Amino acid sequence: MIIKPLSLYASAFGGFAVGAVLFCAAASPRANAQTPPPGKGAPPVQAGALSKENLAKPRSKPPFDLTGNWMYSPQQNRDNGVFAYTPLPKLKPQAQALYDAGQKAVKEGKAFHNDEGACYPAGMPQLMTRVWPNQTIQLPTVIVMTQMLKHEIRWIYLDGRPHADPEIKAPSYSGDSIGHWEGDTLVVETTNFEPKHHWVQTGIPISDQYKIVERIKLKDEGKTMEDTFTMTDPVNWEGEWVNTKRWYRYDNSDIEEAFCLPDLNSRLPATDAASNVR
Amino acid sequence: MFDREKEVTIKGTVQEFAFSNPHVSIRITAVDSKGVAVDWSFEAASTQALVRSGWRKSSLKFGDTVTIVGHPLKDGRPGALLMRATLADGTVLQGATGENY
Repeated sequence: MIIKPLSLYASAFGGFAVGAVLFCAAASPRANAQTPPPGKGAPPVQAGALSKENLAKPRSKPPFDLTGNWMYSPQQNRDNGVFAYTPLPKLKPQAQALYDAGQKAVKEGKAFHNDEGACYPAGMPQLMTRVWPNQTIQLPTVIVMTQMLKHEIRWIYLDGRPHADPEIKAPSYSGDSIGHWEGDTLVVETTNFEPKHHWVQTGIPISDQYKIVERIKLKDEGKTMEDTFTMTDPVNWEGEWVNTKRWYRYDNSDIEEAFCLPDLNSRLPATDAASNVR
Repeated sequence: MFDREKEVTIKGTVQEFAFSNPHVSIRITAVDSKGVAVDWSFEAASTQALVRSGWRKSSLKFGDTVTIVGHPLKDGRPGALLMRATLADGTVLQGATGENY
């Protein structure tokens, strides 16, 4: 074990003060070490989810294993809005105006701010509710879920780490997800989203304050995955926006390559520029 | 985007058959009731979904005659979501517009 010099610094944030912290660069990096301020050195190392030591740590057997292909079916989700998340929360005025404009475009048979058609990622939560499979691999330290469309990926870290410091981890469309088990439920909290060109559903955008808490269970003897989303975004709506969605297991298939290609999209009637309202 | 309460039936000549993901797509040239040539675009499901209904990469090629039934675009442009296609030899290939699409 290498002991680095004691680093003493204090920062004040909202009335709190942080004292001295001993950094220890070793085989077992501390998960909660503070990020040094700018110019004061590298951040503490977070053990990778695939590090041999991290994988080998003794952990309780999880109540279920999500490894498999999960298909989103409109038929299974008629009660929750299918590709929307109904009922809606009370939208703030700016979001309400966008939503109303989106509904008008949809009634006219047009797309509205079709960023997916322009090959932007759907991001969470929509990446989970596409009509292509979600290939899911569960390890003791992480769940890796790859949506076939555009190969969008989300990682749910299970190794006890805190959220990554936004000072050192860029915002992303899939967000920063950490999960833990509560009985028969996987509880996942996701933060640090990229808000540009990122929508919950048609016409409802997110801000950088968007947060999702998910409660995930397996039902029907492991054939159904059920995920209850609790979404908050004080910039765009009031309170909690709750919605439960379901997927069925379909393991007799593997996902394939499916890039978003602008020249392909220009030939598809639903994604060509003529159908998009901005 | 597509009106799932309506169906259109379009017979035409294949200009392009893109056996690709995320969407298989077909463009055909059809002649309307006034004798004017119109290009129609059809969007379908993934290759994985369609091969289960018998589609293959070689199912269509440039110049083939095909009749396609689909749910038309709501805004009236010549495009539709493919429901089924009938090839020149009478083979009917279903789309995947049910459970997952």
